Amino acid sequence: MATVASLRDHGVPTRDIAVVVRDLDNYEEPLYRASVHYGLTPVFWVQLRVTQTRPFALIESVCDVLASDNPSREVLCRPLEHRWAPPSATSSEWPIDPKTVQVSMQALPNESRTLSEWHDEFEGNPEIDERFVTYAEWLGDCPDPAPEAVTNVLTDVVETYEELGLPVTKENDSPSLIATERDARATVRVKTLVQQLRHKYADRLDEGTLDRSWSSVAELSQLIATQRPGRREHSNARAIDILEANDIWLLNVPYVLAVGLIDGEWPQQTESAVPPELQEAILRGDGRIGTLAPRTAWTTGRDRDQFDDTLRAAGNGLIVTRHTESTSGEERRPSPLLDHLNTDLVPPDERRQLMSEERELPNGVRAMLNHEVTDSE
Amino acid sequence: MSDDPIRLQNAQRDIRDAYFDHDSGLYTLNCVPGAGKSEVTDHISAEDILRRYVAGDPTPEQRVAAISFNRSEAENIIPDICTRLREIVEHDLVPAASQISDSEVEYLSQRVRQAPFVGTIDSILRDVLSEIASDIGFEEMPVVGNTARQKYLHKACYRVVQEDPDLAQRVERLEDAYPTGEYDDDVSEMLETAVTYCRDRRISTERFHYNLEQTVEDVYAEGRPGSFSDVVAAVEHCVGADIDETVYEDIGDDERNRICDADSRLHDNWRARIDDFCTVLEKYRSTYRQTIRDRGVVSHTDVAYLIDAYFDDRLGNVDDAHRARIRKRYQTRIQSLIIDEAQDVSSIQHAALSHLVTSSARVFGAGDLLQSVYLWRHAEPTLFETATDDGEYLGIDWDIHEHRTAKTTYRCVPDVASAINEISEAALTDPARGNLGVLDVRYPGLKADRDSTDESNVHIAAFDPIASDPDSYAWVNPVEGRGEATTLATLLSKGLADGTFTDENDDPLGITVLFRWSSKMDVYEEAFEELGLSVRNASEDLFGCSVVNVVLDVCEWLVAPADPERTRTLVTESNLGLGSLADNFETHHWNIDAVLHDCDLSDPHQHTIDGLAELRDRRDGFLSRPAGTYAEDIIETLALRADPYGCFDVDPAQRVANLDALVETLDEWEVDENFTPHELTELIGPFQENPYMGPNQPSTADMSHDVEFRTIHDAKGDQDDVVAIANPGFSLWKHGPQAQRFITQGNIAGLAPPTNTDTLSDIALPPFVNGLYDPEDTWDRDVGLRWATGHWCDDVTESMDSTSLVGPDCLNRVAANERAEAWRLLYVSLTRAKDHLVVPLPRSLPGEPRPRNRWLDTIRDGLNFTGEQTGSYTVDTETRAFDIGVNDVALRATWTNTPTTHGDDVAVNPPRRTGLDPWVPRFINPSTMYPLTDDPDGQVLNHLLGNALHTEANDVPDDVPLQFDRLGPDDVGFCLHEVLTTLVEREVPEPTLRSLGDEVRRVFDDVVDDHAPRIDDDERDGLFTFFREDVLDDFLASDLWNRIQRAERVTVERPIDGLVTVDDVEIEIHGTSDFVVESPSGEQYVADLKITLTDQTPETRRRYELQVTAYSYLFEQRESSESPVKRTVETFGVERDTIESSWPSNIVEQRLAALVRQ
Repeated sequence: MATVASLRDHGVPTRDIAVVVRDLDNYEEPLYRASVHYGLTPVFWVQLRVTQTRPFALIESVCDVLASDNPSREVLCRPLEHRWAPPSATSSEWPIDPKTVQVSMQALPNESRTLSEWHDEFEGNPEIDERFVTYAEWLGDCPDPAPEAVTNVLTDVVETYEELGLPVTKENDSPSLIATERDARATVRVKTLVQQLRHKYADRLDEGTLDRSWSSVAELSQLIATQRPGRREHSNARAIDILEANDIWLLNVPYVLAVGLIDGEWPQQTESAVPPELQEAILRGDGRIGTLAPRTAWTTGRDRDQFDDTLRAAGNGLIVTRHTESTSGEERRPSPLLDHLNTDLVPPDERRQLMSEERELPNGVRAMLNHEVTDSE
Repeated sequence: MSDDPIRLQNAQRDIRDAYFDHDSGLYTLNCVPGAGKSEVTDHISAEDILRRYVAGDPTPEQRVAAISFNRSEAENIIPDICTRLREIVEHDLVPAASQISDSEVEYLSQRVRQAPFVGTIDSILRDVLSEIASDIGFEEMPVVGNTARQKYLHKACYRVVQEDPDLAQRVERLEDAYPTGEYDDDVSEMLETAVTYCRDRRISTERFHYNLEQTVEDVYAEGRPGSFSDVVAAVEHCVGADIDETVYEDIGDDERNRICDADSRLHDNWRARIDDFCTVLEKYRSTYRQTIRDRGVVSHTDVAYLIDAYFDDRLGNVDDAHRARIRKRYQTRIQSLIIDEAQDVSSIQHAALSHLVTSSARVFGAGDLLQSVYLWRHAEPTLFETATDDGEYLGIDWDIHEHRTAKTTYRCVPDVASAINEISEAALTDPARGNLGVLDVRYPGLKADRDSTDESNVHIAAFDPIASDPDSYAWVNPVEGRGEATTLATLLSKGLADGTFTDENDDPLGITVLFRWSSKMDVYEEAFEELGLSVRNASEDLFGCSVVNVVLDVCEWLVAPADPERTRTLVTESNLGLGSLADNFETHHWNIDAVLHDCDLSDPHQHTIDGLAELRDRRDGFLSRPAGTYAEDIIETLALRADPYGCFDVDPAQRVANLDALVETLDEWEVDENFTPHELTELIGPFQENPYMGPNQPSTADMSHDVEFRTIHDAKGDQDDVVAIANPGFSLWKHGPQAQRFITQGNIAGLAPPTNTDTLSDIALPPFVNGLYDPEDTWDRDVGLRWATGHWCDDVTESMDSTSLVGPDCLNRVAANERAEAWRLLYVSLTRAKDHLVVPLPRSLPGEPRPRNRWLDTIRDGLNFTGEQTGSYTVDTETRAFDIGVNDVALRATWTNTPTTHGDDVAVNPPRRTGLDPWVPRFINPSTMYPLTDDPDGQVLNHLLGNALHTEANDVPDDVPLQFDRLGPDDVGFCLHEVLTTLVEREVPEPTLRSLGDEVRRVFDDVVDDHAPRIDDDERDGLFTFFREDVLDDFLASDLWNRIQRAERVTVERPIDGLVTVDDVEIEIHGTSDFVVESPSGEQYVADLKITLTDQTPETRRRYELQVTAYSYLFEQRESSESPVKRTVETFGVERDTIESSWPSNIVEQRLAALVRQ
């Protein structure tokens, strides 16, 4: 990301830069941190991991409380930590701020109790914020987990979050609204999820594959949420695009940075249930077996094509990065995809200079910029 | 690619020929170090694949398994096979090479990359486990080899036995007998080791109990003592000679009786604890068996054990047909098995592998018994020994068995080989040293293939030590004078400066300094750096680093940040730098907000406490996100990488690298689970207590370092131009079995006697320093009569031979094997050298030489170093003479290496989160452009949520005849807009519209049903009436309808896109125009439709005007729109209006520019 920051320093517009990796699973978090370090807002063109967001944690924690006969202090208070608020709440009082929640939690006995016992504790313990009583009453009023009731309860929860919880995220966020955007996407996704949940939950109950309980609801929510569909639009015009290689197809971006060109990472073999001998026979297409269609994942061809797309997308310059050893010091070899690519290696001194406080673009990359100027002249 | 490929020679070629001469059989190659073991295995693997391909197998990589014990070597097998494959073909090294084309070589290389059975033995066995996991009770493929998860699992198992009321007393007795100590295994650790041992040896708890009892019986060979003379007899048994009983003259009768009683008590208590231990172990094992399945976490040993048990039908309740199918699949697939480092295979790995191979396969094993240094990790070198000697391996007595020994080393120069031979032959074949253990040692001798050089290749860094223990800091790096480390560093640095350790281009040679233990590396590093040598050292513990521990401390605090006790711990015990505020915190009841509010804080304190408050407020996010992610949050919030206030005494680059490594470690440990701070704290606890159990700190030196420090175990399999042996003066008995509570080696298992029996340890029992038994004193050579010792018999009596250790037989065997392995380790370390071998040696030794007990003395002997030589001297051997240089470098030479600057931005500046540019919409719609640009802060959430962006509007008048029960104003607008555009799109004729024919009602009902299926009839009819009277009639009377009627073409809901660039920020405008009407004259008319339920306000009017202007702007941007475009917004409903904007098109850019530049 130091290179991206330097390109930006040299006036390269945000949309003229794209960072590409084969698989963002392991790269999203480090690239995110590195982007923020260099003062860049990143945007990752992958589906949101909704299970790691607050709106999802909120509905899941509500299910967990309702599923438990004797919730512990931690389980009981978790929805409040995730900014639960009653459906009729106003923004001046709700959600309860984290400090108050934690101080009240600390004043509660560290044990498991029934909801009604907790309610009594909230009422009787002067150290507990009085809004906890409202929460306990709401829990007590929650219906049995019939499909429609589940939807209504959770819809209320997430809509109230949208109304009152999301603005808190915005208030605490940096000007780039990275967290707000993520939270908003998650809210939209969780609202959809709650609607899907109603039908799937009803179906499972009919099939007899789930029992009617709030824990089943939580389990099913996890299942639906981990399927990770959902919209991928990203709203910030100032964010740097970070994509997986299968999304670079047909794009034309002046400066492309391809990250992680390591043997074993890119290309990578996809596992298949079809025995390799049969895969090979189908790929060769000899005899009658030639009528069977091969899957592209059987070879590393797809990865190679995507790397070709990455090359093709780069209008002015392609910058390829790879690490040479793992954290534990084991050597990492370059990707075989680099074998046939004519690259200029950035010398160690220039690399250090790039990474230093006095960040400077390596000469090879600077030449790409000069080349562009010459071309345009 | 090299022009001169490696060609197999001598034994290498012989064994390769034998291998390919047969279709099956066992082929073993015993190799001296540097004999090209890996080259032979790579060649055989590559040629095997090539031959199979040429013979018509299109997927030959499926038939060849190539495995190594060493992980880093295993990772190189595939690239090395590919390289060798290309070499074989390019240089036509074998007959099959001529039968394939270049493109086929590329094809084969790609196939090799997919080879399923190439890697470590563990990786192959993991593959097998994945096939059988569900059959043996796992829900899915378990996580394998995740140290932290395994520790966590063992902790859970221990909790189960602790809480089992039937076992509570036994556990308590055990905990009393074996209390937790800094260097001692506690009960939980011993149970953990016992499980692994039993699984590795495939033994029941009953058998294990028997083994422990055997050790007791061996220690009490004369049985439970009945009198003091029985104790004396035991002493005599241990030293193997009669004892001059006058040494016990001072012990009176009463004391003799007390000693006898104490010994009897020890005997009884010991057996009772063993009984306790095994009873607890039985339950522990059954708990473990179930817990690994419940949690889906297994060790590598478990994998091998489960595979062996599965195929051996010891697990019960498995699908026989499936098992037969899986067995057949592997046995059919694996037709060639090539094992590198075969001496390191463990008993259970061997057992598991044996199920995958049949006698029709070809098995090639390459190894070196003299490099067997993993006894402590349950390696079983005798398996390879049996293979080479008897042709038995993997459970098969092979009909065809060929064995060769490769004595030629291609690694080192002749002088280095000679020096190694001089040191090692004597050491390894000595029955008191290398030949002390169970392995039958035959020293083949190194025969160097390389040419001699003119220079000295063997160097002694000679120094005059101060009188001290050669394993002490005073010896290694004394405060005054020159010690071992400084002398070695001087030799190396001056050698780099004067060209001794540079190549023909004057480039520095690679230098590795090898250590038996990592404990002296820090002082060595200090001494080396003082002499200008940059050191790469990746042997320090990650969890020993202060900044890493701060992250973990904060995690622990976040378990309950409002808990005053936790805050107290964080403030007073962590390295956060808040210790000096303890009084302030105390005064404010450990409340961070109160301290923030009331105290006058320094900048660093303010920064840290602000950060803690912020983390506390964000704690909820830590409950649902991975630990690696929230660890990053902590690091970022407290600016730990940059450490702007210099709170940590850790090199900046190392600080950054360690924090990166921490995050990576947490990610690896979590796999797909998310650990809450509470769970993480529990998981990490054992590693914080014992940092050595965790990963090492990564090295921050890049390729420009001068010297690399490694442990010998870590360097095994590697080589370097120059190799120096550090700290050779440690005593071999150190850390020996006498210092261990729990011993598991081969068939021997021993639990030390309980520590809480009164054994009268103050009464000496010569020759034992610690009487009967005193386990506290693990720094001496014995802990008393009743456990192992580090004494030699001839040191304690006069008449004994010099090859026997004092102690009971079985424990002596353990000690002997460990000592023998230590000498093999010396051999491994010496044989890493290619061009130069360097050893630091004292000119004089304190006390008598102790070649049996220290490498130092053995090396001195081997090199004939008397301490008096200077410059260089020659050592004559039976075969040749070689020179040794003593401090043979130019004294005035000074090594200067450009220091690597580590001024990485990340180590200097905190993340720039607050400096991120403000959010600007990337996509914008003409219809919402006005509210979003007018009030971006107020509208951003709705924009992000995809909600409607409302502008200030009047209330819906009371006289509007709509109910708004099911459909609110927005829904009404949406539905009627949809009905109208649909009618136009379907080209419903005007008469039908005017007469409200069936089609109109049908369209209306469809739209309303889609949007609000449960709307009641009254609301529906009311809406239809409103549509008819307030919308449709006006629409039909409008100029718009007139145009539509006369149009050449009408497009409904046509996307119109464009781009605005402000500064260098691009904003995309994506609109959909309701109607684009093209007249026969080519004129275009663009109209947007609004259904209004209220009178317009100035705001809504401006909104419509901007929308119109935006469409205008977009059309102007389009190249094709040369003819004029007329644009309006048409409102129908409560208010009928046609809005034509008078605003210039560039207002769009201006508004967006204001947004960007806000």
